[in-house]
Amino acid sequence: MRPSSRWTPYLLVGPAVLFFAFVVGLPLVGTVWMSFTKWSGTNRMRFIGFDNFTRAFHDTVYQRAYLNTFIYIAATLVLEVAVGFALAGLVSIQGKRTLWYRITFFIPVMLPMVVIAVLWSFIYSDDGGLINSFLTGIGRDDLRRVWLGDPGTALLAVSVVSGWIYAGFYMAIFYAGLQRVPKSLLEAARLDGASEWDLFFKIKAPLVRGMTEVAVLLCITGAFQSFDLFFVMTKGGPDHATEIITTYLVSTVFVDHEVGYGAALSVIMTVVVVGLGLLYARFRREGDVDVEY
Amino acid sequence: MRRARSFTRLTGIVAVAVASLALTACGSGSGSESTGDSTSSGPFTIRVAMGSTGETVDAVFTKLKAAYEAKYPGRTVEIVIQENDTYETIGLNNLLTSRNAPDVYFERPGTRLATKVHDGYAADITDAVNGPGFTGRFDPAAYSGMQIDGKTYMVPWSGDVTNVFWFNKAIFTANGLTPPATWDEFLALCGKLKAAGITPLVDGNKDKWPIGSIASHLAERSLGNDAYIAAIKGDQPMNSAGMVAAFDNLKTLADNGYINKSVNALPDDQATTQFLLGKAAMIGIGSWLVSDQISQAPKLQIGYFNLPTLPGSGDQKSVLGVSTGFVVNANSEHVSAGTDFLALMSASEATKLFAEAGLTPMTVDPFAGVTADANTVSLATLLSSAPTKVTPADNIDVKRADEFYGAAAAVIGGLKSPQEALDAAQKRVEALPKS
Repeated sequence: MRPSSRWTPYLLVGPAVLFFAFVVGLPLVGTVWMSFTKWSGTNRMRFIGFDNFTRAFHDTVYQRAYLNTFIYIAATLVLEVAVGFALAGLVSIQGKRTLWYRITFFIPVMLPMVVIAVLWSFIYSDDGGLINSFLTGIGRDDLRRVWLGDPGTALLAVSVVSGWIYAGFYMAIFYAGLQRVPKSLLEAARLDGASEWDLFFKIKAPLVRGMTEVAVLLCITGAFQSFDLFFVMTKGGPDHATEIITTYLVSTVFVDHEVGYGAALSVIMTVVVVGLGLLYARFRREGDVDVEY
Repeated sequence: MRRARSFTRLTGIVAVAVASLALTACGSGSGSESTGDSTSSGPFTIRVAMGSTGETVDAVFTKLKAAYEAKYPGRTVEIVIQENDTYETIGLNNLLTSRNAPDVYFERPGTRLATKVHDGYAADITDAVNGPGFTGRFDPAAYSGMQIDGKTYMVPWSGDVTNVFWFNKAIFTANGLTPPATWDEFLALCGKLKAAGITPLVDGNKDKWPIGSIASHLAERSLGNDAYIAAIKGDQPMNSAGMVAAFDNLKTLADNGYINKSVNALPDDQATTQFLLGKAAMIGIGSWLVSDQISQAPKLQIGYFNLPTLPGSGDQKSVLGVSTGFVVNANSEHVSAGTDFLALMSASEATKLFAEAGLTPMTVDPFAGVTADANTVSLATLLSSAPTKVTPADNIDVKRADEFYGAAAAVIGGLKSPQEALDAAQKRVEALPKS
């Protein structure tokens, strides 16, 4: 059916485009503009060209924040995606009552992040924390640590909490995928003598590859968005050991009131995230194999 | 023709949509009626903004609002109170740049006030504070950091000693200890407590300012106030020998295990709780500990001592403290009405209300007619009689203080030597753009 006027399609998409322009387009343009200025948020903006960007490339804490973010991504790919995949495999084994396991593993996803962060801060506490008390209980005082105050353990400690939360989320994604694997295929494999281990790794895992790719992408982009867990648990410390891009950004803008510089940092981050996304899409296309089932 | 009319119609719809969106986004003001001038005959509203300093203090402002409105018929007051961290980071700036900017607002003297003056948000109220509403209410020294180029931009409100060492009297008595006068005595005292199986000192430095405050005080004692301020402002290097010597004292505490290992992972409120539960003999924190002690451990007997004397060229009797105050917005249409409110806040009746609420007012008679906590009164005297008042680094230059505090955290956490930490901080501040 042809529209009554050539303007009808524009009219239909207009509100959405306007809304998008208002909540995404304008802030984006504004942020890019601000990144070329020196501005505290209240004073007069001063155009300073690329000075903010030059400064960012020499900012050792900002560089450290990227390193930490990439370490965090690597850790969460294991602790969230791989563990989520393994959990999905376990809860999808036939003949087991797995509903309660699925609910249990998914519960952390539904809890408020700040509550989780505070809870785990107590678990990691040096004085009376669950982990250190357990180590004392088994006579391993030598392993006690100030988990969130030691640069050698703080980032891993936060990553573990992240894994505890999101492994259940990825489990749900993978579980949905595994349920779509044709039962006839599995039955045939069983008749051929395949074990549950074989079924999982040789049949189910290859068939949910698409979901794995989505999960990896979500994990990577989610890591760039992480903030609350780090802010509540460590505030980027000790000595910037858990400083990630977002905590440094917030500190720059809202504590130091360097809005222009903060805008430049966020523009760089946007470019990095988009670049990684494009890179990922390219690799994905090159290795794309459609599996129909 | 028809196409042109359709386009016109579409343009109109788009314009209305844009206008609607813009109005939706911008129309989030409180709807206060800040119209007219204070000298005009019509009614008007003044907005007073601040971060919350506790329910009891917030309640005082409600009483002041009622008193002001009764005294000045036709004027109303809107009290805007935000969560304190929000106010100090993003809240105040957002308020000042909004359409309903406050007429009067809370701020700290020094760099923060200077920034507001520079940005055009602080009115020159020199004539008003020399007028009848304020006469005799403040010692001239109370305006320290509130005057720029001979002009007054702030009315003092409350003062805090930012760092002393609080001690648990029962633990001290049980171990035969008395407050130390020198740093060496302090270290010996810590050694005795540790030998007795007691954590000598607890602090929560997750936010970096608690140990940063101690480092500020140590730096002044080592270098002298002018050199300390110059180092924080960037006029002198931060990694001088005197500063390293000051930080060596932090290293001594860390190396000997005199401070809790979790110092950099613990928030200050949890450290306070540990001290109030008797899990450590001392805590290095400000005068506000009193209100926590009263509410959380009213039976606990606590005392305090100032930072013990150290070898160094600074004033060994100095006190680390901050003052706060209120500013009248230079863009306000009701500057004189704003100063009228501040005069009411500075009157003896309001002083009494604030003192009863647990504050240390900066007026000349902060505790007149009030049964205040003995430690609070004593600390107020300590601050007012200090030969040198030292300002914490974050009240001098926020960005450089962040590096300075970071260095102090690295040393107290045993992560870096004083020289390494201060060299790293100096390198970072050198990379900062000139203001």
